[in-house]
Formats: sequence, structure tokens, C-alpha cells
Amino acid sequence: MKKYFLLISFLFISGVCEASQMYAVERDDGGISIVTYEDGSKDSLADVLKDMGLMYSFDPHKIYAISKSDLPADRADRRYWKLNKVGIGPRVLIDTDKKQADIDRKKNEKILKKQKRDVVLGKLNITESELKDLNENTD
Amino acid sequence: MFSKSAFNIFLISLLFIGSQKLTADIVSLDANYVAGQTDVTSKLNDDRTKLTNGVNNIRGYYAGSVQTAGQIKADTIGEENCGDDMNPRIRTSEGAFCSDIVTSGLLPSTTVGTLIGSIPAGTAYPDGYRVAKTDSTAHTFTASRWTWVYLLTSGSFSYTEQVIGSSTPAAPANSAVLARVSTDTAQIANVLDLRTTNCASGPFSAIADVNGEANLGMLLSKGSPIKNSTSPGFLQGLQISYDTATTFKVKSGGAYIGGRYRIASSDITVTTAADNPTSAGSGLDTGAIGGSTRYTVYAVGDMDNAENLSISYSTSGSAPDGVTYSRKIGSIKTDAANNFVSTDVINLHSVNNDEMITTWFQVNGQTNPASITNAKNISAIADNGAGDFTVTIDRDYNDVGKMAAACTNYPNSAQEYSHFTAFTQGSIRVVTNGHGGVNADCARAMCMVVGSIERE
Repeated sequence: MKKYFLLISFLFISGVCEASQMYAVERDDGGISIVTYEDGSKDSLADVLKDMGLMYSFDPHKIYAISKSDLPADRADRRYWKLNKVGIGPRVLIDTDKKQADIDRKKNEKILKKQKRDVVLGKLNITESELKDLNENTD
Repeated sequence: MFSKSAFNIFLISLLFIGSQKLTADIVSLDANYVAGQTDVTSKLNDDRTKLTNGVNNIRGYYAGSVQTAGQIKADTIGEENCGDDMNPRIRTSEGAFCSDIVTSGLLPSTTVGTLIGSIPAGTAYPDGYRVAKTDSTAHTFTASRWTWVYLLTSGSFSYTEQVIGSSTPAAPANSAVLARVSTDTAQIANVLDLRTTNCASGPFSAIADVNGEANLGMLLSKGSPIKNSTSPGFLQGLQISYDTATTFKVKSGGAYIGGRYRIASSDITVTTAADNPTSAGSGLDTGAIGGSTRYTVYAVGDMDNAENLSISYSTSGSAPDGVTYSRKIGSIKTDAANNFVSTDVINLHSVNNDEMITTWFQVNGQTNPASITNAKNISAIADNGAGDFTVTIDRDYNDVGKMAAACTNYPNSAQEYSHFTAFTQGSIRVVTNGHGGVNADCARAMCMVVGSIERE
């Protein structure tokens, strides 16, 4: 009951009714889902969030009504979207820290892989080009 | 001077003419006779001829649609002078707008301890002729028989006896049917009222929008809801559904059954007991319920002059045993323990909810956010990330165990494939993997769902 009250309050406070159609919802796993609600549906917004498994995470600070202009321009960094809870600027931002962390991790993985490969090569006494001929994936 | 007898004839003729209350052509006789009249014989003959012709020409000549050249002129006979047999006011007030109608009485009643019955007074219109019986008519019925009673245009009654349980015999010519009297060994046990007491009640063959066009009987007896049905005619409702291990239900509805029109005014619960078609009892055709058996279900209309149909189910795929009026409507099967099962219930004239694609959608994962291109029964979409979306189903399914879904995507240039990571009665989460197992947005993810949902 409290969740429904909070949902209604959220809608009232944000000056939005279900006709606004699009919502950004922060999931418990840290990602965000962009929910587009279809006009004329039998389901209420609460029903939709519940069916999507997003109701459990309902929290006024985790769901915002948005428009398309709140989204990043393209989907290239989709996995790094996050909610902007500050309230200034677009509601959905790219989590640059997370993105950088991923880049660094991949870079470190690559270095580590190369180091391991070099150790193996050292034991095998074969050259780099001979290894490449074996179609080993060094990426 | 003419003779006294001639004068008397002349005088009587005048009286005859004067006594007619008809408005007729004037019959003109010769000029008055005067004292010392000459050529009396010729004048009398002249007058006689004119009188005779006038009387003989009262009817006139019927020229197909108009009565011409007669003494009785158009619009000269008032309704009050018409006999009841031809009086339109009487026919109208008695409601005789159709042939063979019985407007009052003429229905025998049951008796106790005697086979002598009585047909009371009443009025009917066999073949459109008005027959008014002013007194009751006694008749001794034969024991242990069905006797059909008719009123003939002659005013007599006609009786056709048959063995109990026989089909309805052909009616005698020039008659209106009144009743079927059923006797036992000692008395009239039952009377089935077969009178047509209301012209609006049919037959359907007499009801057409415009003369010459198809009548209601034709419309209800032709065609079928499904293409290759061997059982034609109107059918509405009567869907079969599983109920319990020992019962199934047939929804209310109506059907044309081999010439009879019957309804199920409410849902029928059918058990494993034996059927009784002539008394509209539903049940198993013959023997006892068997295991691992598919039973064909029939709508049955064997009870005479009844509104309601009954249901018989049988191992026979053509007709229940001993039933005259039946129509195949579907089938249901039992498991090895002789229990009805809910799977594979077939309705011949309806599509079950779980036989239809009740949800489908096409999603473009490459728009920002992922969006529905088109859909049926979807209330919302959630873009969860690259190649990952959830759709919610507007009218949820009844049972997640009775749903089936499939998805594919287009184009498939990146060797993408879509699969479900969550699947409930109210939502489906679809993930599209590309080369190397990495999620990838695809231009068209297309999915269909089959299952049972409640429909408006």
C-alpha cells in the first residue's frame, strides 16, 4: 500500500500523469531501464512495473518521468547509462567512471594476457610470427 | 285486361325486388298498365324477362380481379352484413393472420380412469378457412398410443394413431393440428399442445424480409461456421470445456439440428451418466465411460416441441446411438483412469483461446530507447540495455504453464539470436546475443505468444 501511495505521490510531485509515457527506472543491479508505456493499455503503470520486476525497487529516487531529450544521443554507451539524481541537466547520463573502469580493466586484461602468452612462448622457444601462424587470438 | 294469375306473378316479382336490401342496378319494367291495356302478354313477358335477368345477374361476372356487370356493386356490402366466415373484422380480431391458426379452445385435456376424452369448443382456421366448433366433441382414444388430433376444413376432427415413441406423422390434407394425446392402458396421461396460437411464432419459412427473398428458415439452415463442416446451419455458443475429472461443460447457446431449432438456455454440466435424448437428458451415449478414449460430443434435439437441446457424447464419430436429431459440436478425451482431461478439447465451431496467437510484437532495438514497432496485447516496453528489453502483456495469461512463445530477429547478419531470460504470465524479457555472445541491438525482434487469456 505504501508503495502505491509513494507512486501516486511521485506522479503528483513530478507533475506527471501516465500520459507522459516514458520513465527511467534504476534497477537493483545498478542498471537503468527505460520504460515506455503504451496509450490505452489495460495495465496501470504500477501493474507494468510490477510485471517487469521493477516494482520491488520502487523508490521515488529511483524512478523519473523523462522525455527523449533526457537520453544520450546514441546507444553506443548504453551499458553505462545512469540516473542523474541531481536534477540538473538530462535525467540519464553516461557513467564515465564506470566506463573508464571498464576500459582500464580491459586494457589490464590485455596486458595480463600478453604477459601470460610471453611466458608460454618463452617455454616453447617459438617466435611471435610462428605463434601467429597458429591463429592464436591475441586481442 | 290480364289474368289474375299474371297479376299475382307481377305483384310477387315487385315484392321480391322490393325485399332485396342490395344496392343494385335499377330493373326497369315497361310503363304502367292502364285500363284496356293492349298487348298485355307481350308486356308481361317483357317484364318477366327483365326481372329474371336482374335476379340472375346479381353475382355479375368475375373478370379475374374485378366483379363487373353485376347487380351487386362495389363498396355496397357493409362489413356488418358479412358472415363471420368472411368478415375481415372477425379475422383480424381473432388474430387469424396465418393459416392453421387456432384462435381459441380445441385442446383436449388429460383424464383419470377413462380413455374417453373431450375436445372443447373453439375456433381455428385450417388452411385459412374459419371453423368454429360451438360444442365439445367426445372421442374414445386407443389405449397405450400416441394420437395426433386435427381439425379439418369440413369441421370434422381427424385422429392419427401411432405407437408411443413414433416420429410425427404427415398431417391430413386441409387440416390444422391441435394436439398429440398420449394414453396408457386406462386414461389420457399426457396432452402435448401442438396448436399454432400465434402467427408471429412461425414457421420460419413464412418469415421473409421481402416477398420472394430468402426466408428465415433458409437463412438458419444453410452454411456452417467452419469450412468443411458436415453439419450445416446456425450455431452459436455451445463451446465444450473441461470441468472436473467426471464432468465437462457445454456453454449456453443455440443450434439448428437437422431441421429442429434448439437452445441451451444455460451452461450444461455433462456427467458420465447415460443420456436420455427424448427427455432432453445429457450424458454418455452407450455403455460406461472408458479410459484413453476420445468422445465425440453432440448437440441433440430429440425431445419433441421443446426449447432445450441435450448433450450426448459417444465413441461414434457419426451420430449417437438411437438419436434422430444430432449435430457434432466437438470432442473431449479421457486418460487411462477414465477421467476427463483438459488438454485437446476440440470445439468444431469455435476457436479456443489457447489456439490463437494472443500476443505478438515487433521491437526495434536500435532506436533510442528500444521501441515497439507494432504489437498486439502489449502494455509497455522496458529498454534494459543493449540487446535487452522487457515487454509487459496487457491482458495477462491465465497460467504460465499453458503459454508458449517464440522469438526471432531480422536481419540476422550478425548471427544474432533472441531468447528469453524471464517469462511470466504478464511479461517477457528478451535478450539478443550477437557474435561472441555479446548482447546486440537488432532492428527487428519478432515474437509470438500462444496461450489462454480472458477476452472481452
